[in-house]
Parts: sequence; structure tokens; C-alpha cells
Amino acid sequence: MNESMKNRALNAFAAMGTLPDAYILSAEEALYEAEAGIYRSARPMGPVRRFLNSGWGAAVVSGIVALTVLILIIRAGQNPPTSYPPPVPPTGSSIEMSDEGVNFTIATEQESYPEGMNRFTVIMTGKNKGEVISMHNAWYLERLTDEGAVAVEISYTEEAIEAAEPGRDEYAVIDKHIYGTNTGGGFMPGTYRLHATKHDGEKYVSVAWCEFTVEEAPTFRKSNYLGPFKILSLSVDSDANTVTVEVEAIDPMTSLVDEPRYWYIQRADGGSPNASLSWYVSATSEERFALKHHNGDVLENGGYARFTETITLQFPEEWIAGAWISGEYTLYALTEPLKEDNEYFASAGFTMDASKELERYSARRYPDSTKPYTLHLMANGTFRLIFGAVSSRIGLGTYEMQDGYLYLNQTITDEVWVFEQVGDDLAYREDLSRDSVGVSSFPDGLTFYREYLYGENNTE
Amino acid sequence: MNPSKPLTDADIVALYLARDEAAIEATQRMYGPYCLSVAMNILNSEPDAEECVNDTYLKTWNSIPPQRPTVLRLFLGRITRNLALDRYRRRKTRGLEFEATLEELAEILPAQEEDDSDLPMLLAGFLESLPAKERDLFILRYWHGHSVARLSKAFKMKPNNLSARLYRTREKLRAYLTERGYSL
Repeated sequence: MNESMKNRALNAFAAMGTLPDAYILSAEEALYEAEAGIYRSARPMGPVRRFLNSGWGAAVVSGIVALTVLILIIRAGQNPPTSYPPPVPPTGSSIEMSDEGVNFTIATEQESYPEGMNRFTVIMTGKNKGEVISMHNAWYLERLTDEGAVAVEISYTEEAIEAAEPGRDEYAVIDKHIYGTNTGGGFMPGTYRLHATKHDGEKYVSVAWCEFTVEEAPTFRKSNYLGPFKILSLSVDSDANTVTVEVEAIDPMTSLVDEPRYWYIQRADGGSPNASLSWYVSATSEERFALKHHNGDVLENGGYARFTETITLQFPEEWIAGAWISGEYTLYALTEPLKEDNEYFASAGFTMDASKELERYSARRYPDSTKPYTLHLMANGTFRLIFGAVSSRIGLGTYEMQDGYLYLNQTITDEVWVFEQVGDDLAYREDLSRDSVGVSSFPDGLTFYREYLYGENNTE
Repeated sequence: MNPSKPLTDADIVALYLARDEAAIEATQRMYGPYCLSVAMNILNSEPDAEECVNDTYLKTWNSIPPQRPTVLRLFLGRITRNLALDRYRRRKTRGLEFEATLEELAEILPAQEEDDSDLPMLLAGFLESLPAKERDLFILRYWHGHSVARLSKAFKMKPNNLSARLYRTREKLRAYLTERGYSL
């Protein structure tokens, strides 16, 4: 087929778009019913039809219809149509659970604990790639409480779809990351149930689900014990991910050299156990002391020992960004290692603002793209790459500049997107990048133009 | 609006008319997968298809008002379909399945470069003359671009039988167009 004929064919295909709604609706419904297991036949049957119009025929038809309905009930959900739009699951109430997870299974990478500050990962396997894609927005999360299940609002980012066997789309795996949207930055302690849902025409049904548990956050209460020192001041360096505290001995006779101390940091709202468990200083007081202590006591203010201690945030390697989340925190000083219930002798609150944007770039995949890709490089070493206007796809991770190249290290997948610096702009280098599941599909050479540079004649 | 009930098309259109950006989110949740499916049938590329869907939302935002669609799904589907076709025309790589669809359509087109402005009306008239099942199959293949494999599986027909059935329908269409002045 030559180009001219192909264009004519495209025009003909386009012309089909003007067909009356009724025809298209009828066709879609026919496909939906066919894939759900029934199909309406409108063909007249001649003598058979005459029989069916009789009394005996009506009875036979009724029996057949009843049996068909029974079969449909049994088979419902086995082949969810992809063209049927999945409605929004209701909030504030639990949904009915199906007896079997047909076509989909959900497995969390973490067995019982969401990773990251407010997200977790599900891996879906489905027999039909189209059906798996259609579950794009059909997730439902609920927290199980003594009073019943409570819906949790969630959003979705970054999914990679790959076929288990190249070239076959009958078996698909989605690596989906689901974020909690609560401002506390994490899921409250409790047991959760995540559902992949579909609407069967009357109600919402869970076609597959998994449960996970968020552990209770450790608690902190003020001790009657004065402790060896008090916190004089605290300063924050969000770019360096450090918090520096200045402390002074309570007792002027105390040198503080041999006093054990443990520092713990928790988000001020207390609603994110991830924070308290993961954002503790990596070293014990003895090590910190050995690294940071000034030689000898600093004698000031009438002989009270005083020194400063710098706390640097440490993150597990698999964390999404390796940096603080902006927000309010509390620093606790303890004399013992962390337990479920802790007594602290000193504390201080502080604010971490890690969201300063250093650079911003944008690119248009096509000249008439209505919404460009935008790339944001943050002061804390993280990046955000937003793919679309109202897209659930966001690239997240850490970045580094090296020898004229920008490396975007995705922590959700193992993708690395590499850009070459061309003047003030960035050009995508497909040959240097690792995008094994085609998440970005940036064409080689796609240029991201710089729109913003912190401190450069702008008011931001 | 009762948050526990799913939104109707009228509810969502009302959000657009009120210039409430919740309309876009509601559209995405209700019809995102449908639009993605429409785009995927043509483009066979998820990034391209998703970009089409994103453009659909913005185009819908700019279209309502003044338009007030009653069947929002088809309103969105048409926008996505047209955007996907535009993308397809500009792309270098082509999807095999959609190429096959185009080749089938090319069989029934006039040999010469003729004025096709009557084609939509003629197509509607032709489809009206068809039995329901034949019409359904024709639209599923040439409006949605669904593959022969999927349709044959859904309707429990052998792929060859389905292809033959579509071929007969195309032949009928060719005859229909010839009778009305098209030279093929």
C-alpha cells in the first residue's frame, strides 16, 4: 500500500469517527457482553421463532434465560472488558470481595511494611495486557479498624508494563507505586487492604487484593530525669541534610564525655512510623562523640560544658529520594536505644524545607503537544519528571551532574536517564540511558530547554 | 454531589461548565482507561497513547462549554481517536495491527482521488442497512480498531471466519458506494 493510498485509508478511518452515537454504543455494548459471556442475537429464526412466540416457547425461553443468568453470575469477572470504563469506587465504605482473584494477582514487594514515606509497590500479573492497563484507575485502599473499613485516598505514579514474554501481550506485569495522599506523609499504623476493583454493573467488586500492616510508631514522653544536658539551639541545613544541635551540660561538673546519648527524629505529626524508624541518626552517641566532639570541654557561661553535635540524615539505599521531606520534626535525646515506649530528657522542634527548586526544564515531544514534559531538579538532590497534563506518571529519584552529563537515577525502577548538557539545555542520550521497560520512550536527542535557574534574575 | 455515588456524565459535564478542575480528575478516573484503549488500538505505544489521552483531557476542557455532550464517553473517544490518528500520521514506526486495518479500508476506497466529503453520510446510510451483528463487528473493527484476534475471541468465531465476514461486509460497502457514484 503506497503512501497515497494509506493516507486515503486514514481519511476513511477518520470519517468513521462521525458515525452516529447509537451505532457505536451498540457495538461497544455488544463487545462488552460478548466478553462477559453473553451475546445478543437479533437474527430471526423462521420456524423456530414461531415456536418461541408460542406459550411453550415462552416457557423454554424463560428457562434458558434463567440458566444463562446463573452462568453469568458464576462467570462474572473472569474476563473484564477493557472498553468498559471502571467507575470510581465509593469512599467511606468497604467493597464486596470476590471469591477468587481472577486474572490478577497482587504482590507487594514489602511483605508487611510500606516502603518509603508514603508509598508502596504492587506487582500485578494479568493474562491480558489490555485488562491490566484498564486497571489503571481502579484501585481502592481501605484501613481496617474496629469500627469497620475506612477508605484511604490514594494516587498512583509511575508504572512500568512489560510482557512476561517479548512480543506477547497476554501476560503482563505492572509495577505500580501507590502513594497515600494524606498530608502526614505516611500511612497511619494499622492493617490495610488494597483492592483492584471492577464494577459488575451493580456494585463494586474486588477482583484481587492484598493486606499489609503498618506498625505502630514508637512513642516518646518526657522523662522526669533532667538528663546530662539541655539543648541550647538547633540549626538546619536542608541542602546538606544535616541538623546541628548545641547542647550544654546540666551539671557544671559533668564533662559530657562519657554520657551516652541517642538522638531520634520523628515527624511532628507522629503519623508516619517510617520517619521515626528510619530517620534516626546512624551512629551511636559514642561514635558521634568521637567524631564530632570538640577537644576538651568548652567552658562558657560560668563553667558549663558545651559542645555542638551534627546529625546527618542516613537513608537506606532503596529509599526514593535519600532526603528529608519538607515538614515539621521533633528531635529527641534519649539515654537508651529506641524502644516502643521511650522517655526523652531533651527535645527540640525544627522545620525542614527540602523542596527548593534549583533548575527546571521543559520539552515537547511533538511541536503541538499541549502540555510539555517538565523536569525539576531540587536542592536536596532529587528530581521530579512530570509526563503529562493530568498524568499519573511521574519520574522520581536522585540526580547527579558529572562531566557535562545529567544522570537521573530512578529509584522506583532501575532506569537511568542520561542527558547531555548543551549550553543551558539538556539533550536526551538514548545510547547512554538505561530504560529497559520503555517507561520514558524519550526519542534520542529530545531537548529539554531550561526555564528556570535558582538565583538567576528571577523572583522565585 | 453524593461522594459515595459514582458520577454520571451529567455530573461531570456540570463540573466542566462550572470550570471546576475536578472535572478533569473525574474524567480521568471514569474514562481514562477507555480513552487509553482507543488510543492504543491505533498507536500501539503506551507513551504515545497516554500523551493522546492527556491531550484529550485538555481539549475536552476547552470544548465544554460551549459543547454539552450527553454521552461523555463517546465525546472523549472521538477526541482521542482523532488525536491518535494525527499522531499516527506523524510517526515513523507503524503498528502492524492498525496497518492491517488500513489495508482493509483501502480496498473499498475510490481508485482515483475523488471528493470524499460525502463519505461519512454514505457510511452512516450503509451501516443502517446492515444487520445489527454485522454492523457491530464493522464498527468494532473500523471505528475502534480492535484486532481480529480480540474480536474473534470475544464473539467466539475463528479468526478466518471473522475476517471473511468483515470481507463480505466490505464488499457490500463497495457495492453500496459504487451504486452511489463512487468508481472503485
